[in-house]
Amino acid sequence: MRQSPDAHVLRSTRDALLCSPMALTRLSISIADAHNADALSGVLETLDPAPSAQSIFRDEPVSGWRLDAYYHAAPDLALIVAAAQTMLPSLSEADLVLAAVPEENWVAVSQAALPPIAAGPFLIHGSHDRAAARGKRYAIQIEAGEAFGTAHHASTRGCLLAFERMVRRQSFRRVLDLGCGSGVLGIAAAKRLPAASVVATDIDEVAIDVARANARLNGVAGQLTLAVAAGVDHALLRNYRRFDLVFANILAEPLIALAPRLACRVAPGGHVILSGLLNSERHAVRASYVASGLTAHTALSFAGWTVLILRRP
Amino acid sequence: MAKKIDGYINLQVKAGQANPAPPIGPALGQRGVNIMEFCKTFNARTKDMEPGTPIPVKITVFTDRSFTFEMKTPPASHFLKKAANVTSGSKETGRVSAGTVTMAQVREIAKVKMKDLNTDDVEAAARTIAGSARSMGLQVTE
Repeated sequence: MRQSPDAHVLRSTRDALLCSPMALTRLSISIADAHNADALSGVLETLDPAPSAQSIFRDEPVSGWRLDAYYHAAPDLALIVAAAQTMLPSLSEADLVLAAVPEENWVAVSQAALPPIAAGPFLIHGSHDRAAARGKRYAIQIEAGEAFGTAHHASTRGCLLAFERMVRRQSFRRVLDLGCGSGVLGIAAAKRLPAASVVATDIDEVAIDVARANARLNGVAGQLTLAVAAGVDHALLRNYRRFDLVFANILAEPLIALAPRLACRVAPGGHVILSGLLNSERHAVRASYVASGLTAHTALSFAGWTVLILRRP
Repeated sequence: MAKKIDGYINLQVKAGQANPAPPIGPALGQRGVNIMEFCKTFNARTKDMEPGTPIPVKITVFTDRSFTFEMKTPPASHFLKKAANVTSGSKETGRVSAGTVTMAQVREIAKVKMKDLNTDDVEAAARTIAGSARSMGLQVTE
């Protein structure tokens, strides 16, 4: 009998729980500079005992980074301070924070950190929240996996809200999702506009594989054409000539670089929804698209991120 | 997509055997990374390797909790223990020998490890591997 990958993972978890000592200690160190955090992580690796896992994350709201090292045996703090001496001379044992890691259902913890995200009529959720999505017309299942676009970032959610605002006023028949990541925006467009044909591209092959699986999972594979493409110079996009709605949720710098060629792909009367830019970057991005012949329509702000809507006259 | 990096997680995972127990569970769970999605993807990607081979993994986590990961070659100590047919290094390095590996075996290991050792020179890589062998208490013979 074939077993699902989940069953296999859960079975090996049970085995691991039965035979491994569970006591785990976390050592946390706040470090201002990412390079030093990385170097210290390398040093910890060489000491005895060595950590069994390490993570380095942005330490919000404090600026800087936090290094967490997980140990099965208690780490030797004096040894760590001595070994870090050359790169972090001011580090003392008082900066090393030890905490016992409680036994928890870590799968449940990680799922609780990934709740469903509502954006207008859309509900973006992982497989663990299928029940919450039941009966919702525009529920979209996306796992937080190997492609950006889980809707847990303001830029994605902002795009969906901007899209809904526009769809209430007019319909679109040819939609492009440029830099599609998980495919979430293209899938939302296909669901919301059943008569539209949607093209979604990304420079990253893995993202296109993920987007293809997501399109199938969400029942819009027939409506969505996917391709690996850098920018807008791809035969598929040339064949479509012009789109009446283009999503580009990238980052300010590539958005500006793409402005002239992307603007060319917008049909007269068509719109672009630009996202992935900070509020402070909106003027520069808007200016580059206005210079490429589009007119500014609306700017929306979500948690410090801007979504710009522009139109080709 | 508006891909911005939020952080990194480094850990060793056994090929085909990723599961939510420590250290994967707490290291990923405390950072809100989808544990089941990582385990499934990792196990699928390592299904053709010898089960249980330790694989160093670097996970890059983005601001919306999506992630990518890269796998490095198993640590030299894993290959050396296999070559010497021992389960652990010497407890008293320098005094008690844990076993023996030949220089030919060391060169074979060096070839596999070369891409992670930042060198194109097999002999230089072999010297690094031989050094690791001695620090584990293994004798290196011609």
